[in-house]
Amino acid sequence: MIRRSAHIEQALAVKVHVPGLAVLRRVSGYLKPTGAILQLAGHLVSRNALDLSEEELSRLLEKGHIADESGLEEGYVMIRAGGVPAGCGLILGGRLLGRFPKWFRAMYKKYGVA
Amino acid sequence: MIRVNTLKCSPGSLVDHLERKAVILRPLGIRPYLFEYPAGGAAGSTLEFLSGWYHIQSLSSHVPVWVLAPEKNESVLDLCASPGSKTSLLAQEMRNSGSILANEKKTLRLRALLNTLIRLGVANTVVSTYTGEDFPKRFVFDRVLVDAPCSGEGNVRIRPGALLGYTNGAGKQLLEIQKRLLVRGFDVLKPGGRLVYSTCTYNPEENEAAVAHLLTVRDAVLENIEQPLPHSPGVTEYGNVRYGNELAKCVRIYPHQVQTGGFFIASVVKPGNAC
Repeated sequence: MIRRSAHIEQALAVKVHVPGLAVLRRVSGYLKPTGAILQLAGHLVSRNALDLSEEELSRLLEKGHIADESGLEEGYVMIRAGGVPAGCGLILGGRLLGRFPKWFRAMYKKYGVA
Repeated sequence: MIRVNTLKCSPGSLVDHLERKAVILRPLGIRPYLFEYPAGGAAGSTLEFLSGWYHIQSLSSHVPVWVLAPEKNESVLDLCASPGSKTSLLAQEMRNSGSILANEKKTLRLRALLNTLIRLGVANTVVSTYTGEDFPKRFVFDRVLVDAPCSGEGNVRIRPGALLGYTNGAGKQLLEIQKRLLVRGFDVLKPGGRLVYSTCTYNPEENEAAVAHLLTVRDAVLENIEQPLPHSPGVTEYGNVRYGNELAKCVRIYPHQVQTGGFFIASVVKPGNAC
């Protein structure tokens, strides 16, 4: 995704390394929203959003999954923790699977985020 | 010091969130989004930081962007963009509108730039990897930022180890690159546009010398600079070299004048009217 502007044609005519912000990724035939777009536009999400405590988020990031008791349909969800849009998860088979990018998980672990 | 990322949240929201964690932010009173993080606290260890609600950035490094003063819906070139603090501030000032081209030629520094832009939700920026001195002249921009690689003397205050690799004369080698970056940045500026040249070093051989060279080879007009931090003027001569009285319009920020890293900023405009 890149914001529409009068200069978009020039911007995309350069030898582009990365154009804008990734919004969706194709994963096993499905389209998965990126953590980046969920963090940016998370305040607009009104469905398929899950609120965790920061402790639950910490367990999710550490173990990769936690039990899901949300009652939401299976599929991708936005995860909020303490009111902060944190990223993407996947509800599948009674579990919530974390779908956070590697850099997010690494920083979370490295800096002992609280 | 932290900058609230207003692309993702308001200063009030961040203040409230951190207050619930017993982290009390003190407003700096310079911009509504600048706060002092409590001493002893780990500013990078919060979920709010990780999710891009704020960025850790030195006060003086905001000044080049404030001086460039990009407006909504303009096109801006950040010629030496990594690690992306100034690029993301540009996007914030432009409210994610218009178009920023963030250029970084060193592949090792690209990841830092991309991580910053992704974490802070910058959606109006395209990243390119041209050698800055050879940036294609067929592209032109309303504003250009040349935050040039330098000897980093202004960072010694926080990173004393930066002096270990210092050699007398290192500035002269960098000057050739800095001059070429500055001239190319000027060449891709639209008539009526503004270019800001900045470094985090004190060395006049990398600062005033580069700007004086631009004024010699191009029809550039040096501007007086208005910015909120205590500062000193640019030097007009150094050693046996005279740069000219015009260079006093530049700004030198020193840590003994304000509690931040050292910086040099020059602002030039290209004569003519934008079409």
